[in-house]
Amino acid sequence: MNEIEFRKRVLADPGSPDAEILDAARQNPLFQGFLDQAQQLDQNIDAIVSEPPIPADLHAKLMAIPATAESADDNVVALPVHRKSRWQALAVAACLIVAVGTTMILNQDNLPSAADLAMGNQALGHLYHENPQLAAMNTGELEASFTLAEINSVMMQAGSELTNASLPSELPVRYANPCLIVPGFQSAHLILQSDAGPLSVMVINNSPVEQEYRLSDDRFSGLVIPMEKGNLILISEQPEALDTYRGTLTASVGWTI
Amino acid sequence: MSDTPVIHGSTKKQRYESLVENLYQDVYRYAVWLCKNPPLAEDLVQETFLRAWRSLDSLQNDKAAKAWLFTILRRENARLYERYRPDLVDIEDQSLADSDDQEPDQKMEREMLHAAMNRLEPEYREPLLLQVIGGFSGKEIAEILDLNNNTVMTRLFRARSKLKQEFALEPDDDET
Repeated sequence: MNEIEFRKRVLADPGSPDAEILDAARQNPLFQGFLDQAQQLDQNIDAIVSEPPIPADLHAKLMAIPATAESADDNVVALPVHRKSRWQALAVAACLIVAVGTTMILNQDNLPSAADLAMGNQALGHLYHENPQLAAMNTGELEASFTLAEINSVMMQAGSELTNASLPSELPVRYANPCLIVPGFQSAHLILQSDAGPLSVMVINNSPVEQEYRLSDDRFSGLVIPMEKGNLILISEQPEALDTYRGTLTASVGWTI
Repeated sequence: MSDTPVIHGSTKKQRYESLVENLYQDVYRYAVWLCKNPPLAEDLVQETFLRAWRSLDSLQNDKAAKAWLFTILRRENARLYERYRPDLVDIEDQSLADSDDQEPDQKMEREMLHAAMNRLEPEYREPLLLQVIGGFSGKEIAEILDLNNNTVMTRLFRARSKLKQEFALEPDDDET
Protein backbone atom coordinates (compact mmCIF):
# COMPACT_ATOMS: atom_id res chain seq x y z
CA MET A 1 0.00 0.00 0.00
CA ASN A 2 1.45 3.37 -0.95
CA GLU A 3 1.48 6.36 1.36
CA ILE A 4 -1.36 8.25 -0.33
CA GLU A 5 -3.67 5.25 -0.16
CA PHE A 6 -2.69 4.64 3.47
CA ARG A 7 -3.36 8.26 4.50
CA LYS A 8 -6.69 8.39 2.70
CA ARG A 9 -7.97 5.25 4.33
CA VAL A 10 -6.73 6.19 7.78
CA LEU A 11 -8.17 9.69 7.72
CA ALA A 12 -11.52 8.43 6.45
CA ASP A 13 -11.93 6.28 9.56
CA PRO A 14 -9.07 6.24 12.08
CA GLY A 15 -11.22 4.57 14.71
CA SER A 16 -11.71 1.32 12.84
CA PRO A 17 -8.55 0.55 10.88
CA ASP A 18 -8.80 -2.71 8.97
CA ALA A 19 -6.19 -5.50 9.03
CA GLU A 20 -4.48 -4.19 5.90
CA ILE A 21 -3.98 -0.76 7.49
CA LEU A 22 -2.69 -2.27 10.72
CA ASP A 23 -0.26 -4.48 8.81
CA ALA A 24 1.04 -1.53 6.82
CA ALA A 25 1.48 0.48 10.02
CA ARG A 26 3.40 -2.35 11.71
CA GLN A 27 5.82 -2.53 8.79
CA ASN A 28 6.47 1.21 8.52
CA PRO A 29 7.15 3.45 11.55
CA LEU A 30 6.12 6.53 9.54
CA PHE A 31 2.77 4.94 8.80
CA GLN A 32 2.39 3.94 12.46
CA GLY A 33 3.12 7.53 13.51
CA PHE A 34 0.52 8.84 11.10
CA LEU A 35 -2.06 6.37 12.37
CA ASP A 36 -1.32 7.35 15.98
CA GLN A 37 -1.70 11.04 15.12
CA ALA A 38 -4.99 10.45 13.36
CA GLN A 39 -6.33 8.48 16.30
CA GLN A 40 -5.21 11.22 18.68
CA LEU A 41 -7.01 13.77 16.53
CA ASP A 42 -10.17 11.67 16.74
CA GLN A 43 -9.88 11.45 20.51
CA ASN A 44 -9.75 15.23 20.65
CA ILE A 45 -12.71 15.55 18.29
CA ASP A 46 -14.62 13.05 20.39
CA ALA A 47 -13.87 15.06 23.54
CA ILE A 48 -15.08 18.26 21.89
CA VAL A 49 -18.35 16.84 20.61
CA SER A 50 -19.01 15.42 24.08
CA GLU A 51 -18.54 18.79 25.77
CA PRO A 52 -22.00 20.37 25.54
CA PRO A 53 -23.66 19.43 28.83
CA ILE A 54 -26.89 17.50 28.52
CA PRO A 55 -29.77 19.57 30.00
CA ALA A 56 -30.65 18.12 33.38
CA ASP A 57 -34.36 17.84 32.71
CA LEU A 58 -34.21 16.67 29.10
CA HIS A 59 -34.46 12.99 29.98
CA ALA A 60 -37.59 13.57 32.05
CA LYS A 61 -39.15 15.71 29.33
CA LEU A 62 -38.57 13.02 26.73
CA MET A 63 -39.92 10.28 28.99
CA ALA A 64 -43.09 12.33 29.49
CA ILE A 65 -43.80 12.60 25.77
CA PRO A 66 -45.99 9.46 25.38
CA ALA A 67 -48.38 10.61 28.10
CA THR A 68 -48.61 14.22 26.92
CA ALA A 69 -48.79 13.29 23.24
CA GLU A 70 -51.66 10.88 23.80
CA SER A 71 -53.50 13.49 25.81
CA ALA A 72 -52.96 16.05 23.05
CA ASP A 73 -54.08 13.61 20.37
CA ASP A 74 -57.28 12.98 22.30
CA ASN A 75 -57.95 16.71 22.41
CA VAL A 76 -57.32 17.12 18.71
CA VAL A 77 -59.84 14.43 17.93
CA ALA A 78 -62.38 16.15 20.14
CA LEU A 79 -62.34 19.43 18.19
CA PRO A 80 -65.68 20.28 16.59
CA VAL A 81 -65.62 19.96 12.84
CA HIS A 82 -67.58 23.16 12.20
CA ARG A 83 -64.91 25.30 13.81
CA LYS A 84 -63.55 26.85 10.65
CA SER A 85 -66.83 27.91 9.08
CA ARG A 86 -68.02 29.59 12.26
CA TRP A 87 -64.85 31.62 12.43
CA GLN A 88 -64.93 32.45 8.78
CA ALA A 89 -68.22 34.22 9.46
CA LEU A 90 -66.71 36.10 12.37
CA ALA A 91 -63.77 37.12 10.21
CA VAL A 92 -66.09 38.85 7.80
CA ALA A 93 -67.59 40.77 10.70
CA ALA A 94 -64.14 41.60 12.03
CA CYS A 95 -63.10 43.08 8.71
CA LEU A 96 -65.91 45.59 8.92
CA ILE A 97 -64.29 47.26 11.88
CA VAL A 98 -62.45 50.25 10.51
CA ALA A 99 -61.63 52.35 13.53
CA VAL A 100 -61.20 50.76 16.90
CA GLY A 101 -61.11 52.24 20.33
CA THR A 102 -59.17 50.36 22.95
CA THR A 103 -61.08 51.37 26.03
CA MET A 104 -60.56 48.83 28.74
CA ILE A 105 -63.26 47.54 30.99
CA LEU A 106 -61.82 46.41 34.26
CA ASN A 107 -63.42 43.73 36.32
CA GLN A 108 -61.31 44.02 39.39
CA ASP A 109 -62.19 45.86 42.56
CA ASN A 110 -58.61 46.96 43.01
CA LEU A 111 -57.62 48.88 39.94
CA PRO A 112 -54.23 48.18 38.36
CA SER A 113 -51.66 50.93 38.22
CA ALA A 114 -51.58 53.36 35.32
CA ALA A 115 -48.37 51.74 34.04
CA ASP A 116 -49.97 48.30 34.09
CA LEU A 117 -53.01 49.62 32.25
CA ALA A 118 -50.81 51.26 29.64
CA MET A 119 -49.19 47.90 28.91
CA GLY A 120 -52.58 46.25 28.43
CA ASN A 121 -53.55 49.03 26.10
CA GLN A 122 -50.40 48.53 24.06
CA ALA A 123 -51.09 44.80 23.85
CA LEU A 124 -54.60 45.40 22.54
CA GLY A 125 -53.29 47.96 20.10
CA HIS A 126 -50.76 45.44 18.84
CA LEU A 127 -53.57 43.01 18.01
CA TYR A 128 -54.99 45.45 15.49
CA HIS A 129 -51.56 45.73 13.97
CA GLU A 130 -51.65 41.96 13.50
CA ASN A 131 -55.16 41.97 12.03
CA PRO A 132 -53.98 40.51 8.69
CA GLN A 133 -52.71 37.43 10.53
CA LEU A 134 -55.98 37.01 12.40
CA ALA A 135 -58.01 37.43 9.22
CA ALA A 136 -55.83 34.89 7.43
CA MET A 137 -56.37 32.41 10.25
CA ASN A 138 -60.09 32.94 10.20
CA THR A 139 -60.30 32.34 6.47
CA GLY A 140 -58.06 29.28 6.69
CA GLU A 141 -55.26 30.86 4.64
CA LEU A 142 -52.85 30.58 7.55
CA GLU A 143 -52.83 26.84 8.03
CA ALA A 144 -49.17 26.04 8.59
CA SER A 145 -48.27 25.34 12.17
CA PHE A 146 -45.02 26.05 13.94
CA THR A 147 -42.99 23.35 15.61
CA LEU A 148 -41.86 23.54 19.20
CA ALA A 149 -38.36 24.48 18.07
CA GLU A 150 -39.65 27.28 15.88
CA ILE A 151 -41.87 28.58 18.64
CA ASN A 152 -39.08 28.57 21.15
CA SER A 153 -36.68 30.28 18.79
CA VAL A 154 -39.14 33.18 18.99
CA MET A 155 -39.94 32.88 22.69
CA MET A 156 -36.30 32.77 23.69
CA GLN A 157 -35.96 36.30 22.40
CA ALA A 158 -38.31 37.33 25.18
CA GLY A 159 -36.38 35.26 27.70
CA SER A 160 -39.10 32.64 27.80
CA GLU A 161 -39.82 29.15 26.53
CA LEU A 162 -42.69 26.83 25.86
CA THR A 163 -42.10 23.99 28.28
CA ASN A 164 -45.00 21.81 27.19
CA ALA A 165 -43.79 19.91 24.12
CA SER A 166 -47.25 18.67 23.22
CA LEU A 167 -48.97 22.06 23.28
CA PRO A 168 -48.38 22.72 19.55
CA SER A 169 -50.30 19.53 18.83
CA GLU A 170 -53.14 20.51 21.12
CA LEU A 171 -53.29 24.17 20.10
CA PRO A 172 -51.55 24.63 16.73
CA VAL A 173 -49.47 27.78 16.62
CA ARG A 174 -50.19 29.57 13.32
CA TYR A 175 -48.11 32.67 13.96
CA ALA A 176 -45.00 33.33 16.03
CA ASN A 177 -42.97 36.49 15.95
CA PRO A 178 -40.74 38.47 18.34
CA CYS A 179 -42.99 41.51 18.11
CA LEU A 180 -42.34 44.86 19.73
CA ILE A 181 -45.37 45.20 21.98
CA VAL A 182 -44.01 47.40 24.76
CA PRO A 183 -41.14 49.65 23.63
CA GLY A 184 -37.88 48.78 25.29
CA PHE A 185 -38.82 45.24 26.25
CA GLN A 186 -38.36 41.95 24.45
CA SER A 187 -41.59 40.16 23.69
CA ALA A 188 -43.00 37.27 21.75
CA HIS A 189 -46.40 37.02 20.13
CA LEU A 190 -47.95 33.67 19.29
CA ILE A 191 -51.38 33.14 17.77
CA LEU A 192 -52.83 29.76 18.58
CA GLN A 193 -55.66 27.99 16.82
CA SER A 194 -57.96 27.25 19.71
CA ASP A 195 -61.38 25.72 19.81
CA ALA A 196 -62.69 29.28 20.21
CA GLY A 197 -60.75 30.69 17.27
CA PRO A 198 -57.46 32.59 17.25
CA LEU A 199 -55.99 33.04 20.70
CA SER A 200 -53.12 35.48 21.09
CA VAL A 201 -50.44 34.69 23.62
CA MET A 202 -47.99 37.46 24.35
CA VAL A 203 -44.98 37.08 26.57
CA ILE A 204 -43.27 40.29 27.61
CA ASN A 205 -39.98 40.43 29.43
CA ASN A 206 -40.83 43.42 31.63
CA SER A 207 -41.78 43.87 35.27
CA PRO A 208 -44.74 41.71 36.26
CA VAL A 209 -47.93 43.73 36.78
CA GLU A 210 -49.01 44.20 40.38
CA GLN A 211 -52.07 42.03 39.96
CA GLU A 212 -53.80 39.98 37.30
CA TYR A 213 -56.48 41.93 35.48
CA ARG A 214 -58.89 41.66 32.61
CA LEU A 215 -59.32 44.09 29.77
CA SER A 216 -61.59 44.36 26.78
CA ASP A 217 -62.73 46.63 24.00
CA ASP A 218 -65.37 46.36 21.31
CA ARG A 219 -63.70 43.35 19.77
CA PHE A 220 -61.21 41.68 22.07
CA SER A 221 -61.06 40.42 25.62
CA GLY A 222 -57.79 39.95 27.39
CA LEU A 223 -56.17 38.72 30.52
CA VAL A 224 -52.89 40.15 31.85
CA ILE A 225 -51.17 37.65 34.12
CA PRO A 226 -48.05 38.47 36.13
CA MET A 227 -45.54 35.66 35.99
CA GLU A 228 -42.17 34.93 37.48
CA LYS A 229 -40.08 37.24 35.32
CA GLY A 230 -42.53 39.05 33.10
CA ASN A 231 -46.10 39.10 31.93
CA LEU A 232 -48.27 36.68 30.03
CA ILE A 233 -51.14 38.26 28.10
CA LEU A 234 -53.96 36.25 26.55
CA ILE A 235 -56.29 37.95 24.09
CA SER A 236 -59.21 36.49 22.20
CA GLU A 237 -62.37 37.60 20.48
CA GLN A 238 -64.19 35.07 22.66
CA PRO A 239 -64.03 36.00 26.38
CA GLU A 240 -64.68 32.41 27.48
CA ALA A 241 -61.51 31.25 25.73
CA LEU A 242 -59.43 33.10 28.29
CA ASP A 243 -60.62 31.00 31.20
CA THR A 244 -60.63 27.82 29.15
CA TYR A 245 -56.95 28.05 28.27
CA ARG A 246 -55.58 30.10 31.13
CA GLY A 247 -54.43 27.12 33.18
CA THR A 248 -52.86 25.25 30.27
CA LEU A 249 -50.97 28.28 29.04
CA THR A 250 -49.66 29.54 32.36
CA ALA A 251 -48.38 26.02 33.02
CA SER A 252 -46.76 25.84 29.58
CA VAL A 253 -44.69 29.02 29.67
CA GLY A 254 -41.38 29.14 31.49
CA TRP A 255 -38.56 31.64 31.74
CA THR A 256 -35.01 31.17 30.62
CA ILE A 257 -33.59 34.43 31.95
CA MET B 1 -22.76 -0.77 11.58
CA SER B 2 -23.04 1.59 14.52
CA ASP B 3 -23.44 0.09 17.96
CA THR B 4 -27.14 0.93 18.27
CA PRO B 5 -28.45 -1.21 21.10
CA VAL B 6 -31.17 -3.71 20.42
CA ILE B 7 -34.31 -2.35 21.99
CA HIS B 8 -36.07 -4.81 24.19
CA GLY B 9 -39.64 -4.61 25.35
CA SER B 10 -42.94 -5.77 24.09
CA THR B 11 -44.96 -2.56 24.27
CA LYS B 12 -44.66 0.62 22.27
CA LYS B 13 -43.97 2.59 25.44
CA GLN B 14 -41.15 0.26 26.45
CA ARG B 15 -39.60 0.50 23.00
CA TYR B 16 -39.82 4.28 23.19
CA GLU B 17 -38.29 4.43 26.67
CA SER B 18 -35.40 2.26 25.52
CA LEU B 19 -34.83 4.64 22.63
CA VAL B 20 -34.69 7.60 24.99
CA GLU B 21 -32.54 5.83 27.54
CA ASN B 22 -29.94 4.66 25.03
CA LEU B 23 -29.86 7.41 22.47
CA TYR B 24 -31.04 10.77 23.73
CA GLN B 25 -27.61 12.02 24.72
CA ASP B 26 -26.11 11.35 21.28
CA VAL B 27 -29.16 12.85 19.61
CA TYR B 28 -28.82 15.98 21.74
CA ARG B 29 -25.09 16.33 21.04
CA TYR B 30 -25.67 16.01 17.33
CA ALA B 31 -28.51 18.55 17.58
CA VAL B 32 -26.24 21.08 19.28
CA TRP B 33 -23.74 20.83 16.44
CA LEU B 34 -26.44 20.86 13.83
CA CYS B 35 -28.21 24.04 14.94
CA LYS B 36 -25.41 25.61 17.03
CA ASN B 37 -27.85 26.76 19.65
CA PRO B 38 -28.25 24.63 22.80
CA PRO B 39 -31.78 25.79 23.77
CA LEU B 40 -32.93 25.25 20.20
CA ALA B 41 -31.21 21.88 20.16
CA GLU B 42 -33.21 20.83 23.20
CA ASP B 43 -36.43 21.75 21.42
CA LEU B 44 -35.35 19.92 18.29
CA VAL B 45 -34.64 16.82 20.34
CA GLN B 46 -38.08 16.98 21.94
CA GLU B 47 -39.64 17.44 18.53
CA THR B 48 -37.63 14.51 17.21
CA PHE B 49 -38.70 12.16 19.98
CA LEU B 50 -42.31 13.33 19.74
CA ARG B 51 -42.31 12.40 16.06
CA ALA B 52 -40.49 9.17 16.86
CA TRP B 53 -43.17 8.25 19.39
CA ARG B 54 -45.92 8.92 16.89
CA SER B 55 -44.35 6.85 14.14
CA LEU B 56 -42.59 4.22 16.23
CA ASP B 57 -44.55 1.46 14.55
CA SER B 58 -42.83 2.30 11.28
CA LEU B 59 -39.44 1.45 12.78
CA GLN B 60 -39.13 -2.17 11.71
CA ASN B 61 -35.54 -2.84 12.74
CA ASP B 62 -34.51 -1.65 16.17
CA LYS B 63 -30.86 -1.77 15.14
CA ALA B 64 -31.60 1.11 12.78
CA ALA B 65 -33.11 3.24 15.55
CA LYS B 66 -30.20 5.63 15.89
CA ALA B 67 -29.96 6.35 12.16
CA TRP B 68 -33.74 6.76 12.10
CA LEU B 69 -33.66 9.31 14.94
CA PHE B 70 -30.77 11.23 13.42
CA THR B 71 -32.66 11.39 10.13
CA ILE B 72 -35.78 12.74 11.88
CA LEU B 73 -33.62 15.30 13.65
CA ARG B 74 -32.02 16.46 10.41
CA ARG B 75 -35.44 16.83 8.82
CA GLU B 76 -36.75 18.85 11.78
CA ASN B 77 -33.71 21.08 11.67
CA ALA B 78 -34.18 21.66 7.94
CA ARG B 79 -37.85 22.54 8.54
CA LEU B 80 -36.79 25.02 11.18
CA TYR B 81 -34.32 26.73 8.90
CA GLU B 82 -36.75 26.91 6.02
CA ARG B 83 -38.75 29.37 8.06
CA TYR B 84 -36.32 30.84 10.55
CA ARG B 85 -32.78 32.00 10.80
CA PRO B 86 -32.50 32.19 14.57
CA ASP B 87 -29.56 33.94 16.15
CA LEU B 88 -26.79 31.43 16.55
CA VAL B 89 -24.52 31.37 19.53
CA ASP B 90 -21.00 30.10 19.38
CA ILE B 91 -21.22 26.74 21.09
CA GLU B 92 -17.48 26.87 21.52
CA ASP B 93 -17.79 29.51 24.22
CA GLN B 94 -20.43 27.61 26.12
CA SER B 95 -18.91 24.18 26.05
CA LEU B 96 -15.38 25.26 26.79
CA ALA B 97 -16.51 27.31 29.73
CA ASP B 98 -16.99 24.06 31.62
CA SER B 99 -13.49 22.77 30.97
CA ASP B 100 -11.49 25.02 33.22
CA ASP B 101 -9.80 22.02 34.80
CA GLN B 102 -7.71 21.55 31.65
CA GLU B 103 -4.11 22.67 31.37
CA PRO B 104 -3.75 25.95 29.46
CA ASP B 105 -2.00 24.25 26.53
CA GLN B 106 -4.65 21.56 26.40
CA LYS B 107 -7.37 24.16 26.53
CA MET B 108 -5.78 26.16 23.74
CA GLU B 109 -5.46 23.06 21.59
CA ARG B 110 -9.10 22.25 22.18
CA GLU B 111 -10.12 25.78 21.31
CA MET B 112 -8.13 25.67 18.08
CA LEU B 113 -9.60 22.35 17.08
CA HIS B 114 -13.08 23.50 18.03
CA ALA B 115 -12.70 26.63 15.93
CA ALA B 116 -11.39 24.55 13.04
CA MET B 117 -14.42 22.26 13.27
CA ASN B 118 -16.71 25.27 13.22
CA ARG B 119 -14.97 26.52 10.10
CA LEU B 120 -15.38 23.24 8.24
CA GLU B 121 -17.85 23.44 5.39
CA PRO B 122 -21.08 21.60 6.27
CA GLU B 123 -20.47 19.01 3.55
CA TYR B 124 -17.35 17.92 5.46
CA ARG B 125 -18.51 18.56 9.01
CA GLU B 126 -21.75 16.61 8.74
CA PRO B 127 -20.33 13.18 7.85
CA LEU B 128 -17.58 13.70 10.43
CA LEU B 129 -20.10 14.40 13.20
CA LEU B 130 -22.25 11.45 12.17
CA GLN B 131 -19.20 9.21 12.36
CA VAL B 132 -17.87 10.57 15.65
CA ILE B 133 -21.13 11.18 17.54
CA GLY B 134 -23.32 8.56 15.94
CA GLY B 135 -20.65 5.92 15.41
CA PHE B 136 -22.11 5.29 11.97
CA SER B 137 -20.32 3.40 9.23
CA GLY B 138 -19.63 5.02 5.87
CA LYS B 139 -22.57 3.12 4.41
CA GLU B 140 -24.94 4.32 7.13
CA ILE B 141 -23.75 7.90 6.74
CA ALA B 142 -24.29 7.59 3.00
CA GLU B 143 -27.89 6.56 3.62
CA ILE B 144 -28.55 9.35 6.11
CA LEU B 145 -27.05 12.02 3.85
CA ASP B 146 -28.33 10.48 0.64
CA LEU B 147 -24.86 10.20 -0.84
CA ASN B 148 -22.86 7.28 -2.16
CA ASN B 149 -20.34 5.54 0.05
CA ASN B 150 -17.27 6.71 -1.90
CA THR B 151 -18.33 10.33 -1.60
CA VAL B 152 -18.77 9.93 2.14
CA MET B 153 -15.34 8.36 2.60
CA THR B 154 -13.74 11.10 0.51
CA ARG B 155 -15.45 13.79 2.56
CA LEU B 156 -14.39 12.16 5.81
CA PHE B 157 -10.81 12.06 4.59
CA ARG B 158 -10.96 15.71 3.54
CA ALA B 159 -12.60 16.79 6.79
CA ARG B 160 -9.78 15.34 8.87
CA SER B 161 -7.16 16.59 6.44
CA LYS B 162 -8.46 20.13 6.86
CA LEU B 163 -8.52 19.77 10.64
CA LYS B 164 -4.99 18.39 10.70
CA GLN B 165 -3.85 21.22 8.50
CA GLU B 166 -5.39 23.90 10.70
CA PHE B 167 -4.93 22.26 14.05
CA ALA B 168 -1.47 20.78 13.74
CA LEU B 169 -0.20 23.24 11.13
CA GLU B 170 0.73 20.35 8.89
CA PRO B 171 0.76 20.30 5.08
CA ASP B 172 -2.68 19.72 3.62
CA ASP B 173 -3.02 15.97 3.13
CA ASP B 174 -5.73 16.73 0.64
CA GLU B 175 -3.07 17.82 -1.81
CA THR B 176 -1.07 14.62 -1.62
